Amino acid sequence: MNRQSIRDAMIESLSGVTTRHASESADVDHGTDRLELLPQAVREHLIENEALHQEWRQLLRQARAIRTLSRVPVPSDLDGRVVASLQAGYRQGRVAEQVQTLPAERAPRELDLLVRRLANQPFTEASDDRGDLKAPTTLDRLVAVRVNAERSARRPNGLPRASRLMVAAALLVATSLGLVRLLGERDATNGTEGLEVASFSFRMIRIEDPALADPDLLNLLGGMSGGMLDGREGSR
Amino acid sequence: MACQESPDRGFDGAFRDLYEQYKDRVYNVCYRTTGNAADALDASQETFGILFRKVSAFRFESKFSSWVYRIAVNASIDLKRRSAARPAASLDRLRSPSEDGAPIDFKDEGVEGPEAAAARHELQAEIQEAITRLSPKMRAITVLRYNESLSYEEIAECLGTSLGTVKSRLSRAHAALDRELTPVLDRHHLR
Repeated sequence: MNRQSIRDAMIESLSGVTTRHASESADVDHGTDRLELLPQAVREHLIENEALHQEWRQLLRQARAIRTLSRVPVPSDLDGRVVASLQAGYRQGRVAEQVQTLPAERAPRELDLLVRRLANQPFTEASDDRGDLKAPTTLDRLVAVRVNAERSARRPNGLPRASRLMVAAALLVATSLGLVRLLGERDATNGTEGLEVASFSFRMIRIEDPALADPDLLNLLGGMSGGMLDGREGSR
Repeated sequence: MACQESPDRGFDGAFRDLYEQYKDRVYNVCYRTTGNAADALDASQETFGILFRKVSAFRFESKFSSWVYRIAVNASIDLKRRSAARPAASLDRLRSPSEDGAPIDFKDEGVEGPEAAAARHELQAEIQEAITRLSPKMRAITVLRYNESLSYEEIAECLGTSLGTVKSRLSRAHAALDRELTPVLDRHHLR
């Protein structure tokens, strides 16, 4: 046996010093050499070699010292913390499951056509190609103003950012073409500046009867047009 | 294992059984590995959180207790790594386990008297401090071997290492403990 294998055997034999529970630390056998814990071959080496014998005593001493560490009682607040984290984790999991089960929104067919025409073109350039659906060039400015206003205000208004942009676009077109809504969706990958729009898509919706239209849209149109576009000031 | 029930109605059934069965072992491993009660509490909470989230993924390819120990050791080491920037515990704090949140074990007080009890608490705090100065891996292996009394095979399973690694790491841990612990034991005249 080489020295390292003797040392390994000595360390492995230290399990004889330990007991399953530290509460039994009173049983730790301080003060004896416990050579009987060692395999016979290792014991013979120790009897012949005082340095090895001393190493064994040191190892024994360390193991005994660590064994004197008392078992620490579990604090009572662990129960409450585990329960709270378990229930929070469960709630989060349930929300994630519900989100995953939400039905996917179907995009209207005309969106495909518009996106194909407008893809990868700057907004103002694209709008020039739109013929009878041409959007006024001030639309990009209106969108930018709207985006900046939102950014500075930072106040939740109950509608997602994309919806607010759509309404801004709708207001302008409704003003210029009558009760026609032009819906725009800004590409979120283009950063935060409103004018940095790489592509823009539109959907035309005719509001035949304000009483049947989306109330959130009418409220916003009404608020932004001083009541002219929500039907309260009479049909226009 | 029937641990798939909803915990909505509280903390009953299999979750509660599992918690009751392992909380002492988990907390003690966390306490000895992190070296203080506050971190041990955080690491224990993290351990049970992981345990309950992933229990359905347990493949029974190892002992369940080894898996629990593994989560507890990793949670403790991760927590210490994250809090490495925080100031280290003072010696006074380590010498006063009761102030640290870990109740002192008074079971022998009547026999050994208050002075002996105080000396024992001081010795335990210094031994714990010596263990805390080991590297995380050596600390974990020392705790599992001498505080939890696991076999080499169980330790290898817990830490996901080979038996050879367990042996060599434990040998190095003893070499480090020789430096850290010998002055403490000499001072307390412990043979």
